[in-house]
Amino acid sequence: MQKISALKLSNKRVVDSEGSEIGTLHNIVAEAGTGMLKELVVKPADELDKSRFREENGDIFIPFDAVKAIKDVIVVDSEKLRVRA
Amino acid sequence: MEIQLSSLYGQDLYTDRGIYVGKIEDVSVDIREKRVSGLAVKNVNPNAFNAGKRKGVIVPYRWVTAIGDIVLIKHVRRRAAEREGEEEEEGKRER
Repeated sequence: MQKISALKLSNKRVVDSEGSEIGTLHNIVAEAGTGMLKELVVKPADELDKSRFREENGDIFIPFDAVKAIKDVIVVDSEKLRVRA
Repeated sequence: MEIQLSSLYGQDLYTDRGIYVGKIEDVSVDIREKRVSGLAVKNVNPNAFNAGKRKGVIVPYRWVTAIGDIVLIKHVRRRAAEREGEEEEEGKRER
Protein backbone atom coordinates (compact mmCIF):
# COMPACT_ATOMS: atom_id res chain seq x y z
CA MET A 1 0.00 0.00 0.00
CA GLN A 2 1.02 3.54 -0.63
CA LYS A 3 -0.03 4.87 2.76
CA ILE A 4 2.85 5.78 5.00
CA SER A 5 3.19 7.30 8.43
CA ALA A 6 4.55 10.81 8.08
CA LEU A 7 6.46 10.38 11.34
CA LYS A 8 8.33 7.41 9.91
CA LEU A 9 9.32 9.47 6.89
CA SER A 10 11.07 12.18 8.83
CA ASN A 11 14.85 12.01 8.71
CA LYS A 12 14.71 9.74 5.68
CA ARG A 13 17.49 10.40 3.18
CA VAL A 14 16.53 12.29 0.05
CA VAL A 15 18.51 11.56 -3.12
CA ASP A 16 17.98 12.66 -6.71
CA SER A 17 17.54 10.26 -9.62
CA GLU A 18 21.20 10.63 -10.53
CA GLY A 19 22.14 9.28 -7.14
CA SER A 20 23.36 12.50 -5.60
CA GLU A 21 22.49 13.08 -2.00
CA ILE A 22 20.20 16.04 -1.36
CA GLY A 23 19.66 15.79 2.37
CA THR A 24 17.27 14.40 4.96
CA LEU A 25 13.53 14.95 5.10
CA HIS A 26 12.56 17.40 7.77
CA ASN A 27 8.89 18.03 7.13
CA ILE A 28 6.13 17.91 4.53
CA VAL A 29 3.98 20.86 3.52
CA ALA A 30 0.32 20.14 2.72
CA GLU A 31 -2.64 22.23 1.63
CA ALA A 32 -4.88 22.31 4.70
CA GLY A 33 -8.23 22.28 2.91
CA THR A 34 -7.60 19.46 0.47
CA GLY A 35 -4.81 17.59 2.17
CA MET A 36 -2.77 17.68 -1.03
CA LEU A 37 0.96 17.30 -0.40
CA LYS A 38 2.80 20.31 -1.76
CA GLU A 39 6.45 20.25 -0.84
CA LEU A 40 9.17 18.38 0.98
CA VAL A 41 11.13 20.37 3.52
CA VAL A 42 14.65 18.99 3.43
CA LYS A 43 17.66 19.63 5.59
CA PRO A 44 20.31 19.92 2.89
CA ALA A 45 23.46 17.81 2.83
CA ASP A 46 26.63 19.82 3.48
CA GLU A 47 28.04 19.54 -0.01
CA LEU A 48 24.75 20.32 -1.79
CA ASP A 49 24.54 23.18 -4.28
CA LYS A 50 21.51 24.96 -2.89
CA SER A 51 21.23 27.51 -5.70
CA ARG A 52 18.57 25.55 -7.58
CA PHE A 53 16.27 25.27 -4.55
CA ARG A 54 14.09 27.65 -2.63
CA GLU A 55 15.68 28.03 0.76
CA GLU A 56 14.21 29.18 4.06
CA ASN A 57 15.82 29.05 7.50
CA GLY A 58 18.47 26.68 6.22
CA ASP A 59 15.93 24.20 4.84
CA ILE A 60 15.28 23.67 1.14
CA PHE A 61 11.88 23.07 -0.44
CA ILE A 62 11.28 20.44 -3.12
CA PRO A 63 7.95 20.27 -4.98
CA PHE A 64 6.15 17.03 -4.16
CA ASP A 65 5.57 16.49 -7.89
CA ALA A 66 9.28 15.76 -8.25
CA VAL A 67 9.05 12.77 -5.89
CA LYS A 68 9.56 9.52 -7.82
CA ALA A 69 9.72 6.94 -5.06
CA ILE A 70 9.58 6.64 -1.31
CA LYS A 71 10.97 3.43 0.11
CA ASP A 72 14.16 3.17 2.12
CA VAL A 73 15.14 6.52 0.70
CA ILE A 74 13.18 9.25 -1.05
CA VAL A 75 14.07 9.63 -4.71
CA VAL A 76 13.31 12.89 -6.48
CA ASP A 77 13.47 13.42 -10.22
CA SER A 78 16.51 15.52 -11.16
CA GLU A 79 14.81 16.61 -14.39
CA LYS A 80 11.82 18.05 -12.57
CA LEU A 81 14.09 19.87 -10.16
CA ARG A 82 15.87 21.44 -13.09
CA VAL A 83 12.65 22.56 -14.79
CA ARG A 84 11.69 24.47 -11.70
CA ALA A 85 15.09 26.13 -11.28
CA MET B 1 -3.62 27.65 3.78
CA GLU B 2 -0.51 25.54 3.85
CA ILE B 3 0.54 23.57 6.87
CA GLN B 4 3.63 21.63 7.80
CA LEU B 5 2.64 18.15 8.83
CA SER B 6 4.82 18.21 11.94
CA SER B 7 2.76 21.13 13.24
CA LEU B 8 -0.16 18.70 13.59
CA TYR B 9 1.61 16.36 15.98
CA GLY B 10 0.32 16.77 19.50
CA GLN B 11 -2.63 18.93 18.46
CA ASP B 12 -6.01 18.35 20.02
CA LEU B 13 -8.79 17.09 17.81
CA TYR B 14 -12.43 18.03 18.39
CA THR B 15 -15.62 17.44 16.46
CA ASP B 16 -17.49 20.44 15.14
CA ARG B 17 -19.94 19.94 17.99
CA GLY B 18 -17.18 20.56 20.48
CA ILE B 19 -16.57 16.97 21.56
CA TYR B 20 -12.97 16.11 22.34
CA VAL B 21 -11.74 13.26 20.14
CA GLY B 22 -8.08 12.86 21.07
CA LYS B 23 -4.54 13.98 20.34
CA ILE B 24 -2.96 13.76 16.92
CA GLU B 25 0.03 11.47 17.10
CA ASP B 26 0.88 10.92 13.46
CA VAL B 27 -0.29 11.73 9.96
CA SER B 28 -0.87 9.08 7.32
CA VAL B 29 0.06 10.14 3.79
CA ASP B 30 -0.87 8.49 0.51
CA ILE B 31 2.21 8.69 -1.68
CA ARG B 32 0.54 7.76 -4.94
CA GLU B 33 -2.34 10.17 -4.50
CA LYS B 34 0.04 12.78 -3.10
CA ARG B 35 -2.31 13.65 -0.27
CA VAL B 36 -2.86 13.30 3.43
CA SER B 37 -5.06 10.26 3.95
CA GLY B 38 -5.67 10.34 7.68
CA LEU B 39 -4.81 11.50 11.15
CA ALA B 40 -3.63 8.96 13.70
CA VAL B 41 -5.22 9.85 17.02
CA LYS B 42 -4.31 8.61 20.49
CA ASN B 43 -5.83 9.28 23.91
CA VAL B 44 -9.15 8.65 22.22
CA ASN B 45 -12.12 9.98 24.17
CA PRO B 46 -14.37 6.94 24.67
CA ASN B 47 -17.43 9.20 24.48
CA ALA B 48 -16.50 10.26 20.96
CA PHE B 49 -15.08 7.02 19.54
CA ASN B 50 -15.30 3.52 20.76
CA ALA B 51 -11.72 2.52 20.07
CA GLY B 52 -12.01 -0.71 22.06
CA LYS B 53 -8.61 -2.11 23.00
CA ARG B 54 -6.86 -0.32 20.18
CA LYS B 55 -4.30 2.29 21.09
CA GLY B 56 -5.82 4.79 18.70
CA VAL B 57 -7.86 5.40 15.61
CA ILE B 58 -7.14 6.78 12.16
CA VAL B 59 -9.51 9.57 11.24
CA PRO B 60 -9.89 9.98 7.46
CA TYR B 61 -8.62 13.37 6.36
CA ARG B 62 -11.85 14.07 4.47
CA TRP B 63 -13.58 14.39 7.86
CA VAL B 64 -11.40 17.37 8.74
CA THR B 65 -13.29 20.65 8.55
CA ALA B 66 -10.82 23.13 10.04
CA ILE B 67 -7.16 23.34 11.03
CA GLY B 68 -6.02 26.17 13.27
CA ASP B 69 -4.88 26.15 16.87
CA ILE B 70 -6.89 22.96 17.16
CA VAL B 71 -8.27 20.60 14.54
CA LEU B 72 -11.97 20.05 13.94
CA ILE B 73 -13.59 17.08 12.26
CA LYS B 74 -17.15 16.44 11.21
CA HIS B 75 -19.27 15.07 14.00
CA VAL B 76 -19.93 11.42 13.23
CA ARG B 77 -22.24 9.01 14.88
CA ARG B 78 -20.38 6.60 17.06
CA ARG B 79 -21.49 3.64 14.98
CA ALA B 80 -19.76 5.01 11.92
CA ALA B 81 -16.66 5.78 13.93
CA GLU B 82 -16.41 2.24 15.22
CA ARG B 83 -15.78 0.94 11.75
CA GLU B 84 -12.52 2.87 11.49
CA GLY B 85 -9.88 0.51 12.76
CA GLU B 86 -6.34 1.54 13.47
CA GLU B 87 -4.73 0.38 10.26
CA GLU B 88 -7.94 -0.22 8.39
CA GLU B 89 -8.22 1.01 4.83
CA GLU B 90 -10.95 3.43 3.92
CA GLY B 91 -12.25 1.24 1.13
CA LYS B 92 -13.29 -1.70 3.28
CA ARG B 93 -15.11 -0.14 6.14
CA GLU B 94 -18.12 -2.42 6.09
CA ARG B 95 -18.03 -5.21 8.61
